[in-house]
Amino acid sequence: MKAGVGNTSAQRAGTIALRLFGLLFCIFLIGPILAFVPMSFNGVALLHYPIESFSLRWYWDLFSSSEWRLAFFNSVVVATSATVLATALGVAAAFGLWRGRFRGQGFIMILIMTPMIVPSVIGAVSMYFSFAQVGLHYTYVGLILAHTAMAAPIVVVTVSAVLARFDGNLLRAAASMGAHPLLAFRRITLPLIMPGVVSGAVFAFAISLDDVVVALFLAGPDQRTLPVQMYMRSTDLFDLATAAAASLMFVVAIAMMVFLELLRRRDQLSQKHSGAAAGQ
Amino acid sequence: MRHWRPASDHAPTIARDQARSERAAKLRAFMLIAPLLVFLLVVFIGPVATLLGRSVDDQEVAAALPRTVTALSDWQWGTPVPDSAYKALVEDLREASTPASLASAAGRLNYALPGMRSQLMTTRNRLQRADGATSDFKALLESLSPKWSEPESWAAIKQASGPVTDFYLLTALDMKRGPDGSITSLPANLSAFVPSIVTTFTIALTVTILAIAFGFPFAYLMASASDRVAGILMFMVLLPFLTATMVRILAWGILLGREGVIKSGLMALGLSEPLDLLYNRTAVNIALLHIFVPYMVLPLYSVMKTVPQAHLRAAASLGATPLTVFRRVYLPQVAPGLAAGSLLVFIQCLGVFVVPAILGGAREQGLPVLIAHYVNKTLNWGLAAALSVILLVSVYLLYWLFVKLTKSATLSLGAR
Amino acid sequence: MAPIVEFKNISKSYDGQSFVINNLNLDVQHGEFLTLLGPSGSGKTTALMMLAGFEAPTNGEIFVEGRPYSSLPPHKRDIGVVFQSYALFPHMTVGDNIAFPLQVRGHAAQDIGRKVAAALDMVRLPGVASRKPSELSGGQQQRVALARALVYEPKIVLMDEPLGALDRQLREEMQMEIKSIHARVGVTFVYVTHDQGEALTMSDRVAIFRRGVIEQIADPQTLYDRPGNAFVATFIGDSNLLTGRILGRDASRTMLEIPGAGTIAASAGDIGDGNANDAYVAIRPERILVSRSRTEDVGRNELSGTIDKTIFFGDHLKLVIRLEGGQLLQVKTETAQPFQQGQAVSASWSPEDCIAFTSPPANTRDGVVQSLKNTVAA
Repeated sequence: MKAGVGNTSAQRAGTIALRLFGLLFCIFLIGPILAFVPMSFNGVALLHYPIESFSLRWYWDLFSSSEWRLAFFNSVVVATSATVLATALGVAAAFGLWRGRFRGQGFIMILIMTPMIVPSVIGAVSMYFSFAQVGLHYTYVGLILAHTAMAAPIVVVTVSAVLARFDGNLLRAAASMGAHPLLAFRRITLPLIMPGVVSGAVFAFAISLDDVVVALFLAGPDQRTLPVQMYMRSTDLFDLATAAAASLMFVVAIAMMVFLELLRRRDQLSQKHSGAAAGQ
Repeated sequence: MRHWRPASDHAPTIARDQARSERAAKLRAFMLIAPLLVFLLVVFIGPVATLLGRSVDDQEVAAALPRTVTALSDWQWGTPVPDSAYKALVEDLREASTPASLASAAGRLNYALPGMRSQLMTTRNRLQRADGATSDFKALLESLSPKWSEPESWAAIKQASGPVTDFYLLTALDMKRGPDGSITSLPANLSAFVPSIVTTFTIALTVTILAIAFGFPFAYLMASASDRVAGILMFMVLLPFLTATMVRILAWGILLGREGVIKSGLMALGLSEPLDLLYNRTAVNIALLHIFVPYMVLPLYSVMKTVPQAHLRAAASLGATPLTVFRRVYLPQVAPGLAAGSLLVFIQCLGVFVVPAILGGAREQGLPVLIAHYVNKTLNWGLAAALSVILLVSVYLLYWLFVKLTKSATLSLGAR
Repeated sequence: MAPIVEFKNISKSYDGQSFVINNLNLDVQHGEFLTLLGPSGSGKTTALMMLAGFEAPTNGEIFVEGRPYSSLPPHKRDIGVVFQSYALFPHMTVGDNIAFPLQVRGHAAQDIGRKVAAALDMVRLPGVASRKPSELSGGQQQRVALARALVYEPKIVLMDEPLGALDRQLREEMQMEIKSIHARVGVTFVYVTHDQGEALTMSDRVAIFRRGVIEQIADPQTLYDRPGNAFVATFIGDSNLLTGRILGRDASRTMLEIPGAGTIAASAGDIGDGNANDAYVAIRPERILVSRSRTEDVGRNELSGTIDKTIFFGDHLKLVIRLEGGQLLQVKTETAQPFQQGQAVSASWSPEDCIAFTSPPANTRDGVVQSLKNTVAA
């Protein structure tokens, strides 16, 4: 209303105040993350400005530490495996939900959403208890399975959102032309929902990479992931190697963000007219 | 009705086949969902159910002291403990084949009545040394540990005889059963868990209110801005959203820490005593707001985008003051987004573990931290499970509200 | 020759209670252009979808070339389908779209190239093979969809309101085009539309659907001139519907009294056992002659009235005549005829051009009948 209706001076003041607030809130949102990135390049082990000398020593510390190196490796292995599994399971489930009109579909959806609803501590404690009975705790397999369960719902949600825009007549057309359902899925459905599948996978990766709590319970010393390693070191907030690791994770976040934005644009192109640019 | 040719005499009756083929199509679709469902049931839902089951599971005592439990089954509080119970306990303790099972039963009884662990273990050790030729088991037991003359010990065993119990759930709510079976609340100075529950909900409520206070105007700004500006603002919201939580927590830790940026800035201005901005409620609230405000902004934004400016102009042209326009025209239209965002933030806040653990002080530790504590430190699974039940029931009540309001089970954040 | 498609006692229900299709029996002949015409919700699209295999009948069986087809999955049916939304694959070029059914069937690559080019020539769209569907206009996309459904020479081609999304002029152009393609390829076409003009222009036969049953199936001329009941009479083209009372009947004629206006003779349509009391009489507006004075031609029906309204339509003039007794009669005449409002006139028509029915028209697609009835009531 302030921006949309009328033009009295009070309203103009309101508009300006709103914009100022927006600016400050943006600083609140990304300022804290941006603030410590330069510190990780500080040559001195001090956490304040101005930066006294530029140095990569903390990054060097990071990569020369076998503990941190293992954490990097574990995060990549676990997040990648969980992403692949969660995407495969999630895409199949989303397609099944789209295809079949069941009674009780709402209930199935509630079941699928469970890992997103249940607080991570409860999930972590539960899986720790059950996995321990079959010897899966403190193993890569256990951690990967747990992260797959946590990441699968977001894949279902993302792919379902794309499928909602997918014209079912395309599959009917393909069938009428003699294409077996599997072939139609591979040649028609999959290419068209690909942007949704890939962004689902990116979100799944982000969830695995974000998790501290479940990994804290399920990972033994050999499976410690990057966030767990950071958590373990967080009692010492002045360890700039941690800041360096955090900076690297921030770079990963930016990369995922840019990737998602590119996907979104590509998706929009395939919606509107202008096929040539959408490419094949 | 008109038939254009006579109904054919070999009218095929294959309706069953067709019903079957329709069912087959549904089955094929379901077979696509089944792998994920089975996976989640085995890996996640099953384990959670198992944990929750432990909140009422009470079989340790009956497993270790089967005769005693049977002998006490008819005993009423206020009547003398039957002699058969003394005999049974002696036999149970003598024959306790696995000391491990006795130890866990002793641990369970100790939760209910402190001192029972050592009472049981001592009695057992002394029994093994004492010779077995006596028929007065009551005197024997009371000589080994005088506490066996107190009916409270027997009441504890009887109440723990399983197979299910409300002991853990009551404990989690700071209540207990007296030896006579009546439920009483613990006095405030002894209450251990209700304050944590209150902390959890207070923090969740505070952060939700903060998220509305900051998220609403920000979402409004996004919705009324040009596409380009809205894109930039969206980037500002989503970037922290995709950044690992641990990174954001560390960022706040560093910012608010003893030698953090804010601190040194304030001190340079002579505005602040060298107090810690860390390890208190404010630090937790700020960090949680930072982490969860996107859950408020995104659904609000997607609803606000759909409110036609014409409605607001129309209301203003009809003579409504800006406040009236907001209250009567705008707010009702964005209410679904506001409700969805609030529930999302509230639900997420109930489950936070890492933020209070790192940035909070002792008074900021809510239910999730307690659950982890009882699993990690005391191995009291029953109590951890009971606390989980309380947390999960709260979360699912709110989720149920969310599903009712949004007519969708998915926690999507609205159109991007 | 045996029909290529037979619907035998087909019923379809989604909820187990109400029928979308109720005991349908329908034959489609080899090579014919059959149109299923009806208002929305009449079951015509459901019938088409069952033939394509996208829906299964609840009861009955569909035979194609004598083989039961109901449990055959759509991809094994060899039936081409053209959708209203075209259903072109947006991520493939036009050429790849048309090549798709050929690739699925394992045709050789050079064969495919040749056939795709020929198919595009047939729909008069040469040279667009490398474009994306989204770069084409709606009419062009529809032609591509047609080429794609024809390129693998299926036994039958089904079209579900294929021109519904096009504007009027393009639609008429495409009607001619589809008709001429049908004439050239000789494949059986089953076409669904709610547009009666489209149905009459293109079809060899038209089946009129209402509430899950076929009201009449016939060639367009018969439907227009000899509608089987009042619904068909008012659904196809414009029809006046007068209400009257049956006085008597002989082998070929039914005598009716139009209250307050006089007595007329009509061909017997769907009048049941004859001497029911109330009946409807359908007369096409262009079959009525209007004159200033009575012609007194004994071979014709003639009723008097006054001009209530004249409406100019460019190529013709529509007169609304209020008959004695109050019923309204619409007449299509040449524009040169000088009639004025309030003028007393006489309307006449041949008994062959009007048909009497006893069953009410009920729920017709527009307000014509409704307004006529209201007038009578008033």
